[in-house]
Amino acid sequence: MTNAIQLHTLLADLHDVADPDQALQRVVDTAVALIDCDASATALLRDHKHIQQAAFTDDLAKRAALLQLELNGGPCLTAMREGGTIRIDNTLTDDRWPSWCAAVAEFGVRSSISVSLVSGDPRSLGSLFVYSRQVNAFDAEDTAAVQILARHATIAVRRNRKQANMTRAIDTRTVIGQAEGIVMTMYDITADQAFAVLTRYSQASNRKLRDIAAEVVRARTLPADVARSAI
Amino acid sequence: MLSQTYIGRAPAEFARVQQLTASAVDAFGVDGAALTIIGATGGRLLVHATDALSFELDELQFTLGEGPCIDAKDTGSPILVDAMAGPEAQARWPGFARDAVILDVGAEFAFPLLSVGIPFAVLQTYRHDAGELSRNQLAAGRDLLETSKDLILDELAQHLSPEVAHGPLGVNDRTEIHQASGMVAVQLGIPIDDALARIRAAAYSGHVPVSAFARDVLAGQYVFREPAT
Repeated sequence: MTNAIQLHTLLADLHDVADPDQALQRVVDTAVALIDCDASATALLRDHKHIQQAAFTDDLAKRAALLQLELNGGPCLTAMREGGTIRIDNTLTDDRWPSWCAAVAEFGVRSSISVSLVSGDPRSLGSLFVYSRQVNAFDAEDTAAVQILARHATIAVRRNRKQANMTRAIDTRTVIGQAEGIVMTMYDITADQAFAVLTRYSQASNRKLRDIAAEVVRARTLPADVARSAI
Repeated sequence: MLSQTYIGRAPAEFARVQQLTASAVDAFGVDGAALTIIGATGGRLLVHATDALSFELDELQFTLGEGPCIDAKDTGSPILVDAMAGPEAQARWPGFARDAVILDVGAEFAFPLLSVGIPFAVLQTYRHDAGELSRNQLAAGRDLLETSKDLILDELAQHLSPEVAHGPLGVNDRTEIHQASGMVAVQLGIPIDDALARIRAAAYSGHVPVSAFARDVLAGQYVFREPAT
């Protein structure tokens, strides 16, 4: 555990990172600097099954965190679903998540702290995870430090994501408007009809609308097969 | 014509932005204020303007691709233009500064709103009379921006999700300009950026606001024929 000044310095840094992926990486790096642990991982989920964004300080932390999605159970998932913090002092004896504990014990993970992390998107959930190869590695002070970090991470990630989404939304609106103009001109249809064509193309190809629009703008036309089925 | 474009459209979804622009007029002692978001690849949304001239100044900067608002976004620093008619402003933004003076703008002050160190929006204000902001005005205005920027970011982000990319937004979302660019790109067989440049240039030389001109292009009332010269 560190003192208050070090804590302040580490946490203040979190809020100055503009890039969302770098910001998340900074969170896990900070966790490792903050308390005596072997590694840290964090993941933000789009829903209960899919990862939106994640960062790790080593591969084992990544495996330990992501394995919970495969098993549909583990301390991070419980922490993010119910909110709060879960400490495991010994994976060899803990009986709350038997499959996960057995699997990570095999890799050498003995103790862990999992804290829920909220990204701001109401549907998304996240968590911050640290582990140690020692049993009984973490005390109440370590737990409190990870909780404080998670609170700061929540704020930093939320602001960061908001800003990134907002800027992207402006540019997405631009490229979709341009693609609408192209489709409107080619087929002599209205803007709403052109938007519907692009939306159908997006759904049929299972690709994001903005990627579809960017492709149409680059090519200045709809692909021939799409034109046949979507118009 | 411009006032009709924006009056009567005071979107309730941007209540905090409206409040901020109104408060900024008082704090800075200016005649008008507007809040603009500029995207990474040239998208530009005018979220709210307190008056027709603020609207027009924003449109002019978009049309010309130059002006204090764009510089405030690019540098992340306030751009304070005490004398729009002065040699410095006229040299820095030859097109914009000349037209702003014609529109009776004596001074313009543009402030970027920063979050995580990068600008997410710009508050632009103008005054008919030239002259510096007083120390008190500058302090009061910056205080206002500092205390409201997080709430503003919240409100903007709430209505600007990447999933909602169709339909009107703010007071000038320039959808028709983007659509007209797509149309001209097809008609002339040129890249989209070139098409936008043609539209901007034609609107500017015809002394028509580029949004209004784009509507004419979409309606087929103005057709680009000859290749770019």
